[in-house]
Amino acid sequence: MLEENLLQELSERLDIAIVSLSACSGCQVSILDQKEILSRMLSDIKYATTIMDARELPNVDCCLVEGAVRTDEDLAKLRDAREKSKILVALGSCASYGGIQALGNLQRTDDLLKVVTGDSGTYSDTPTVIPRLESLDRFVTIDYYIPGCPPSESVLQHALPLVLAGKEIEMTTEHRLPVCASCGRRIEHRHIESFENLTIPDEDICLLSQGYICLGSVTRGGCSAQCPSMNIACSGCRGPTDRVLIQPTHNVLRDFVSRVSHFSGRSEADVLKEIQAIPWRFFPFTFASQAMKRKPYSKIVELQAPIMKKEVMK
Amino acid sequence: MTQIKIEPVTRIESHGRLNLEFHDDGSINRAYFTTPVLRGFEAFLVGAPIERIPWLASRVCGVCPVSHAVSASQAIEKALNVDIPETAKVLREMLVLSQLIDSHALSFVVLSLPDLVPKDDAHSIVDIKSEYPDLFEKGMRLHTIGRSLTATMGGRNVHPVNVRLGGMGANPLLENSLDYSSLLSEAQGIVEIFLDQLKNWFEEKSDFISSIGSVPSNYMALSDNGKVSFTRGQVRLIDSGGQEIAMFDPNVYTDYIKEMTVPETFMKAPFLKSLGPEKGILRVNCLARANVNGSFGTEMADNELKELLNKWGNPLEHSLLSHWVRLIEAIYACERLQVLLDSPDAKRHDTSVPVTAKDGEAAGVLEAPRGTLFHHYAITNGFVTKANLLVATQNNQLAINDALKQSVVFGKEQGLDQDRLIRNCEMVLRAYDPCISCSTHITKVGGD
Repeated sequence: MLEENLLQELSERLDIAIVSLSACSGCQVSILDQKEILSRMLSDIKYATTIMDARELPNVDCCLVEGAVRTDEDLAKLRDAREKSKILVALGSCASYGGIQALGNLQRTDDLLKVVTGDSGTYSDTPTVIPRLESLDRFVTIDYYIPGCPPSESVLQHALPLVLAGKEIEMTTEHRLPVCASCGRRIEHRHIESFENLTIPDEDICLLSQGYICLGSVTRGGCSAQCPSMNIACSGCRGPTDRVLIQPTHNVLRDFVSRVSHFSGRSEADVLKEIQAIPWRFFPFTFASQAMKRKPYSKIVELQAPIMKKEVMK
Repeated sequence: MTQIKIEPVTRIESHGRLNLEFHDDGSINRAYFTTPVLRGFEAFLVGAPIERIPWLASRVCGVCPVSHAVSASQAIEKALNVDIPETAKVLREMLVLSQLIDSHALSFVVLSLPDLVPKDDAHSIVDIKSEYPDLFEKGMRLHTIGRSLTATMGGRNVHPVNVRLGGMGANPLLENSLDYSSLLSEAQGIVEIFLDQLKNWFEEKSDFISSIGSVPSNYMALSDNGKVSFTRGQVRLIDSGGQEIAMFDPNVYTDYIKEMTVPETFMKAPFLKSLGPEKGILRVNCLARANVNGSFGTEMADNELKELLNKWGNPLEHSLLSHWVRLIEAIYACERLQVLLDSPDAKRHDTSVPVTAKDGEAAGVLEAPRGTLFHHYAITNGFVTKANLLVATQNNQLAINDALKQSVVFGKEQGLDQDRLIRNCEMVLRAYDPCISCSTHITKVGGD
């Protein structure tokens, strides 16, 4: 349930728009799921093509943008949204960091272009695909980020009323700390030869210390550690913690590697090699993140280097 | 030749465009639905380690993530000869049917209700809220229930986390305090109210219902021994007269279905190989499921379906009747979930088996809320080497175009103005509940 004082915030009416770029629509669905917020703000929504007949984006106070920039049309829509809104919110991990679709950046440019032209036909009257998918902040200034794939209920219930009332967001402790902070599993040192993937983990023991690539220790919390609580390793869908983002030289990969090395007794070089060989396994939601790319040690750029599929298969 | 482009088409999932091409004499040349969105999943799923596939595939669609996660998992388990425990089968079916209630509520209440109510100029759920506050509250409640059921079974509603290769991560029924059973009864009660309303509305405009979006087509759906099923069985194809064309295992789907590139859209168009792109157009979704099977296997849903078929003919041809079947399916989901909830397998702890990485290839199939969904993977040493998705809205693409054209022809005969013509087209389109996020994903990057 929402706290009454947060609901109060919603009494100050702002005009709202929801714009969707290259996305799965899951972030919009998550907003539609917040019935309490929705019923308060429904009449304030001036543009959201999923729920209403509106074809032109009007000037609004606050615009929530889901999805990343994949085509020139996405880019035009984003610039239009920036121009017409006082507050622009990057909603979800695609808007904030590129999201899962940025794995498409692993394709070499000519392979990617083959995606567009197809091998059995040509396309006309379709938008131009830009060579690399990018998060929104590559092109425009973002006022707020609400990461998550999708943003968790607790984050939406906390942040949305404030954003929509034009108030500053103060993040709660849970949202600042890593996922591990809400996970009740205990650490047990085990000697591990290589990562476990397809076996069934023990229920009470830290997944990372059992040899599963669980990204909970470097991923933003606020999700009640949903995945580990269902015996599934964290895939990092909420992106990096504040600590990682704020410290420019924070080397998140090295952090993670040294932790695994400590738990498993394997050498850091060994662990690093295994992780770097398969980019789908480390921070796959942040490949197009501008903040991560700027970090001198982030390795995100290296992880994105064209990878020969044969090498991956070895 | 004049061309009208309506963009974006509203009240559908994600971004689509409606294109109408008219001859100089004003008659329609071509009507087609396109999507300018590109995702590229089939490209970047190649190379991924298989244990990541359930949650990578889930990201194809935020409206039916469960269908993608489960269909992908089934394909890989089949390729690697993994037998998942009965518990996992029950839990997965429950997850799929919970999402069905959620998704159908979204489609019917939030997206399409403004088209269906007697008020002629309703344009959004906001209008429903002010004009029909009682239906609004009931619709929101139904959506909330669907959402809670899905979130319970999957860990969360959008991109649920509980599906893993080899089964399910945990059995949420063992420690959850949610009163699943009473929520199901409540949901069913709400759907029955909507169904009664819809019957009245359709009775009053039966001429309209049978005049727009009515096209002959072939139908495809999963069939479990003649009953509608969302997770089990074989793929059955029938023709426009209801005669069986084929019944096949999803592994051989390419023997029956061929895809072609359409220049104006990032969505490939499948058709029946044996009949060609003209006569081989396909329909999937709730209408097709009812036509292909004629029975749900639960009492109330079957009675309702019988009434519908008696009144409107068999197979059901009018696009707008999809809304009617959609509500019957929601009733079926409630009835079937109650049965599954009471089964002994729903109360067991053994939710998954370990999987061994090796080589293999297979296609998995299930019924997503919007129709038949294929996920096809080739695997080498635990990594994906080939990925192909054949998605519900894609399957409907050519039939949607035919239905749009037919609606324009009818509208022209009636002398409707352009606004009304376009509104009718959008109405027909929404009956198919198209999901663009899902369906736009060019196949084939560099070779096969």
